[in-house]
Amino acid sequence: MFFQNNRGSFESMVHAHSGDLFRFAYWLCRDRSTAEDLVQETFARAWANWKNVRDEKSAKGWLLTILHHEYARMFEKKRVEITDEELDDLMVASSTNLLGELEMRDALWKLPENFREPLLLQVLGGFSCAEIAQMVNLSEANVMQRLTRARQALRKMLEPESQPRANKL
Amino acid sequence: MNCLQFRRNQLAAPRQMPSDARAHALECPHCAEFARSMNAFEGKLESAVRIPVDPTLAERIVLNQKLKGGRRNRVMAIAASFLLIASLVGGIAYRHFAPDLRLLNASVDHVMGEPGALTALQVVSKKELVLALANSGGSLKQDFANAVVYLHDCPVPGGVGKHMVWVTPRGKVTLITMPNQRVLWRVDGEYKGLITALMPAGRGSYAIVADNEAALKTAEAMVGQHIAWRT
Repeated sequence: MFFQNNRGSFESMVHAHSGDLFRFAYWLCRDRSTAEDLVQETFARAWANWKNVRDEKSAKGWLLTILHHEYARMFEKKRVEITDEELDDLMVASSTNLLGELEMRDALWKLPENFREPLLLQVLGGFSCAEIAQMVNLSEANVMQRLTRARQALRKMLEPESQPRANKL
Repeated sequence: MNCLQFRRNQLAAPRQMPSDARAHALECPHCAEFARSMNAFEGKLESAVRIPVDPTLAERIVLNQKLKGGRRNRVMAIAASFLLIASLVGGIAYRHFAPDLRLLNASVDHVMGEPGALTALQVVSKKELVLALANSGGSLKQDFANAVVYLHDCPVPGGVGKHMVWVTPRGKVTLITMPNQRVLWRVDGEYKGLITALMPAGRGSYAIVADNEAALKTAEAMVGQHIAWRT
């Protein structure tokens, strides 16, 4: 095992990945409190199975997969109550393109969940289509199709005039 | 690679540009422009997705895990402490107070070692009976000296006790007091064909030995009716 069952390596992983896990969780449920609960639960499960982690690269994918399952489990129990947080609260004050980010976030939230999730795994996690396919239990072709459709949909929402050709793909 | 494949690849994974895609972009200005627009779009998407995260989140997760671990360890420690205390108390109680089958067996052995006691027809006075019972913290509520056909000091575990034989409607029974052998509750036994019961007395304990259940129960009833135990 690359990582021994020790707290030091676990804490390093928490510091390295909790931010992206939180973002992923947030974009799934759009509620900061629920997102944090998901991240806490993810790390609790991860710690219980820490011996299975072999290296840093696989750790992030593994953690996101746990979170994906946790979210699915939570979603089965009860539909997550969306608090529709003020997007302004999420903005970085010094951002030079607040309106653009606001529009992008709004568009992202309007995406169907089955499009949004692989997109987030790619953008936040940096995973390839094959890796995402493994994480969400889909074929690679299916993931590619969802990613394509997700970007097409976003572009259509944000730049409706500039997408005549891309929409035909 | 043709334009359609290029754009599909760009929409699916804009940050990945394989060599054949790069070659196509060099040849096709429309696709090169598309790649540039996708690159800009991807930058906006990445920026939008990266919402700010509470800087204390990681520390809180670590702390939460430590607390959970600590709680689990504390629960285990408390459970272990209770188990240890229970074992110690149980051990001490067993060592000091728990009825011991050896006392029952010793009583049977004593009875079998004095067969003459069961055939004796000694006349025992009320005064002798009172003194004998007082030895174990008992007092006479009601005289039954006429039912006692044998009364003698005998060595018993822990000192000297009283060896008595009573005549009951169900047959003769033996009662042996053991002033220094305290028991907390009744213990029944059967040894060498005789039935025994060991019970707490006012001070120490007493054993009833009989050859049948009915006689033993009758003797028990006689004790309850005629003797009061004081600690």
